Amino acid sequence: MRIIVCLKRVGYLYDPTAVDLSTGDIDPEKMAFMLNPYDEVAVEEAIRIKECAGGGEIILLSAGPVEVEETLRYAWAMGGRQIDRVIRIDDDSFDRWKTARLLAQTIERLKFDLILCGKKAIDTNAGQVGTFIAELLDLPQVSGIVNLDFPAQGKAIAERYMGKGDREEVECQLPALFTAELGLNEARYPAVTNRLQAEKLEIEVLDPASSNFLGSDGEAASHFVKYSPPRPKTRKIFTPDSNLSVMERMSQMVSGGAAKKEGGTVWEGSAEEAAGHILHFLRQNKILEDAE
Amino acid sequence: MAYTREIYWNIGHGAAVLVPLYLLTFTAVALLALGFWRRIKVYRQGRVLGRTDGLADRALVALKQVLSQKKVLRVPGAGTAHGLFFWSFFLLFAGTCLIVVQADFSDPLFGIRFLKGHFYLLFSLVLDLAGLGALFMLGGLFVRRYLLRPQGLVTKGDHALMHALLFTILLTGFMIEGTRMAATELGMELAVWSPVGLLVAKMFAPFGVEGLHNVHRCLWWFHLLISLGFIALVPFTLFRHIFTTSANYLFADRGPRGALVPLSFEEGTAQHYGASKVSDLTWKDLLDADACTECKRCQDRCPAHLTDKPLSPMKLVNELQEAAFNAPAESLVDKVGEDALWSCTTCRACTESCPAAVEHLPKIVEMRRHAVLSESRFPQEYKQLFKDMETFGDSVGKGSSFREEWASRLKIKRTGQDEPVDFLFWAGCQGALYDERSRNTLVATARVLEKAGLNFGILGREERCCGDLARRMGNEYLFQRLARQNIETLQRHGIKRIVTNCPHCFTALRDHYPQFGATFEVMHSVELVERLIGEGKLAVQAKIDATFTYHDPCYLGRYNELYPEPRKILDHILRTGLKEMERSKGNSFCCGAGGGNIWRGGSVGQRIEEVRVEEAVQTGADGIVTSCPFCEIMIDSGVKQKGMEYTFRVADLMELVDQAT
Repeated sequence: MRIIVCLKRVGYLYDPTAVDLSTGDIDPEKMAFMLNPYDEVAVEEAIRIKECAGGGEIILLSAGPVEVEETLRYAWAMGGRQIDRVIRIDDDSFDRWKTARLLAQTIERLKFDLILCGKKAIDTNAGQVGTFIAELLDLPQVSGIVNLDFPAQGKAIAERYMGKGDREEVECQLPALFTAELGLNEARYPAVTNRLQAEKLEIEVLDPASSNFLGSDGEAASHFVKYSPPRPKTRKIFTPDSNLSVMERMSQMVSGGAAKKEGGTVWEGSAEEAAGHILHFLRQNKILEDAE
Repeated sequence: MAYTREIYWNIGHGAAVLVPLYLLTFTAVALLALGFWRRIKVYRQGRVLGRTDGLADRALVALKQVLSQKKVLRVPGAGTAHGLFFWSFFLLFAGTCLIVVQADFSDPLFGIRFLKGHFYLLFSLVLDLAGLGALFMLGGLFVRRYLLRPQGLVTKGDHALMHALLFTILLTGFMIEGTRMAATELGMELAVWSPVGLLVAKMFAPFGVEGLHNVHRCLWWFHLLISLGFIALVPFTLFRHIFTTSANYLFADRGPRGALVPLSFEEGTAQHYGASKVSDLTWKDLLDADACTECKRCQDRCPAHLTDKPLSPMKLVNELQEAAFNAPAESLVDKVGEDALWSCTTCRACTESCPAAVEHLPKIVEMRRHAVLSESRFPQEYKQLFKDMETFGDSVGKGSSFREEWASRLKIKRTGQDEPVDFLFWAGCQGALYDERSRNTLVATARVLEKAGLNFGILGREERCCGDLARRMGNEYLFQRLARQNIETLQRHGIKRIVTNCPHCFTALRDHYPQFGATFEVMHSVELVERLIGEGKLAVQAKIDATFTYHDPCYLGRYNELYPEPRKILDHILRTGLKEMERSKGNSFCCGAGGGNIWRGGSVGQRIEEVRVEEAVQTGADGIVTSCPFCEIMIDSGVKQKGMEYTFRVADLMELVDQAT
C-alpha cells in the first residue's frame, strides 16, 4: 500500500509575540512554528498502517518555502527508516486553492492507494485543502476520521464522530483521501536517534515553475491581508425578568443588568428573620397555601 | 619485671610454624586478590570515566572520610555502633600488624623490639578495650538486625556468616589471651593492663598447666585459620565493602554535585544514547553498585519511597549489581521498571545520606536518557511538555511574549534595548509564566534589587527555558538545544553576571552551561541578598512578626549547599526566630516537583507535597518560607489541599524581604 501524507508547517498564532497588534503584521522571526497537530496525527496513522501491514510505502509531501523542510524532517523522524520519500514543493503563497492544485498534481504523478491529511490547519482553521485535493483527483473522501480499518483489499472503513459519543461508519473504495481528526491516534515523540539522522536527510524539491505544473490558471486565488487578534469578549446580553414592568426591563437592558429593580424589596436581618419575610411574601402572593 | 610478652609463646617460632603460617597467609591473600580481580573485571564492562585526577589528594580525602567514619556516624544508633566497631576492629588489625612487624621482621633481622615497657602497657590496654568494644558493638548490630528487625532492612545468609565469623574471631582472640595469661601472667602487675584477658584467664585458671598449653595452641591455630578465612572471604561476602566502599570514596565525583556528563550529538551516528544495558554505564557506576552495603539509608530518605511510589534507590542500585554480575545483556530500563525510574524527583537525598558514597543519580538519568532518546519511552504527560519546550522554549507552551508580563508595570531595563546592565536578572519560565503567586515573587525580587540600588535588567522575550528539567528527565537533545540558544543570547548581549530566583535555573546556568562554553558568574538571589544586607545596601525597615519554618529546596541545599544564606536573611527580617523542621538542611524533604514529577499528577501513594506541609505545620509556625518557585507552588498546592490556605501562610523568601525592607 502506498500512502501519501500531506502536511503543513503552521505558525502558532495564539501567541501574540509575533504579531504587531497595531498593524496586524506578522514577524516570522518571532513566531513559533510547528508541525500541524492534525497532520502529525496523519503521519502517525501512516506509520501505524505500514507497521501493521508489515510493508508498504510512505511518502511525505508539503508545499512551502525552504523553512518547511525543518518540519518535514521532524515528521520523517517520527517514522525514521519507515518513511520512503520526502518531497517539498517550493511555493511561497498562502493560497489554499493553489496549494491544493500543487499537491494534487504532484500526487497524480505518484501511484497511490491512500492519501492522509489533517482535518484542518491550526493557523487558518479552514480545512479546505484536503477536500480540494480529493475533488481535483476525483477521489472518495471522508473527513475528520477517528478510526481507519482495511477490511479487505481495496476497501476502507472509517469512523467519524457524530457527537454525544455516537460514531458514523463510512465504507469506501480505495484509492481514497481521509482527513484526520485528533482522536485518530496518539502521535509518537520522535526518537532522538531519528532526529539526528533526519538532519542529514535528502529532501526532494519540486519547482512548480518548471513545465507541467499548474498552467495558466496557476495564480493564487487569495492572499494574506492581515491578522487581527480576537475582539474583546462580548458582554452577556442581559435577559430581564418578564414580570417586571416595561420601564424596568428597558432600564435593565440598557444598563446591562446593573439597574436596581424597583419592584423588589431588600430585607436585612438574621437568617430567621429573612426566612420569616420570605414565607410571609410567599403566602401573601398565594404562591404557598396557608398552613391554617 | 619487664612489661612485655613472648610473641609466639607456646607456639614456637621455627620453620614448622612459620612456613605453614606464611603459606596459609599467602593463600588467603591470593584468594582475596583473585576474588577482587573477578569483580574488577565486571566493573570493567562499563564505559571509561576519568576519576584518577589528583590521585594523591583523592587518597588523602578518602582516608580521612573512611577513618573518621563521618558519614556513617550521621545516623545515631546503628551509625554509632558501626563507627565504634570499625575503630575497634581497625585497632585490633593494627595491633596484629605491629606484632607481625616485630616478631617476623624487626626482631629477627635487627634485634629491635618495641612491644615492651610503657608502650606495651598502652598497647595491651588499648587492644583489650578495642576487642571488648568490638564485641559489644557487634552484639548491638546483631540485636538490631535479628531481634529489632527495622523495616526494610534485608537480611541474607551472608549476614549470618559475617556475624558468626567476626564473633568467633573476637571470642577466640580473648580466649587465647586468657589461656596465655592464665599460664604466664596471673598475679603480675602487668595483667591488670589487659583487663578482659585477665577476666578470661581467671575462668581458665582451674585448667592444669598442660591443659592450658594445649587449649591455647589449639585456639591459636583455629583463630589463625578463621582469621585467614575471613580475609579470603572478603570479596565473596558483604565484607567486600571494606575495599569497595573505600575505593568508592577514592573515586568519588569531585565536580559540582549532581553534575551530568553531556552527550555528544555531533556525528549523529550513535546507535543509541544513555544506558540501555550494563556496558553503557561507567565502571564507577558498577563499582557503586558493588559498594552498596544495603544499609537502606537512601531508601529511608527517598521522598518517592516514603510516599509509597515504586522506587527504592537501594533496590535500584542492587538491581544494577545483579545485572552487572549475572545478566549483562538485560535491558536496564526493563529491569528497574519504568514506574520506578520516573518516580525519582532527583532530590539527591539518597546520595547525600549514603555512607558508601554511592552516586545514584547519574545512573537514573542515564537510564532515562536511553528511554527518552533511543526508545521514546516515557510517561504520556511528558510528550506535550517536550514538544512545547522545543517549539516555544518554555515549559507551558504559552509563548515568549508572556515572559515579560510580570514586569509590565515595573520599570525594568531590557537587555538590548537600554544601556548595559551589571546584573542580568534571569526570570525563568516557572515564575514568568505559571502562577500569579510566582509572578508576584518575581516582582518582589525586582523591587528588592531596586531598593539595593542594583543596575539590573531582564532578557524578557529572548529568554528560553534553561532546560534543566529536560536534562533531568533524560532529554539531553532538548536540553542542549535550549542551552545553546540561551548561551548564544546571553553572549550576544555581553552578559557577565546573572542572578536568579530559581534554583534549577541557577544550577543549570552555573554548573551545566559551562559544559557548552558559558563563562558567566551566576548567583542565586539568596546569596546576593544576604550579601547586600551584610553590606548595608538593604536596610530592614520593619521586622516581620510571624513565625516561619524554612523549607530547603533540593537544588539550593543539597545541590549547592546554600543552607546558611537564607537563614541569615531570615535572622535579619523576622522578629522571632525560625522554627526548623526536623528534616531540614541536608536532610530536607523534597517538595516532589523535580525530575518532571510536577507534570505527572501522580496517583500512586500519598502526595509528597502534602507530607511536607504536614511536617511544616507540626512545627507550630505561622507559615512556611522557601526560595524556589517550584517548591512554592507545590507547597501552596499542598496547603490548599489541606484546606489551610487562610491559616498557614506560604511565602517566598524574597516576598518577605520585600515586605521587611
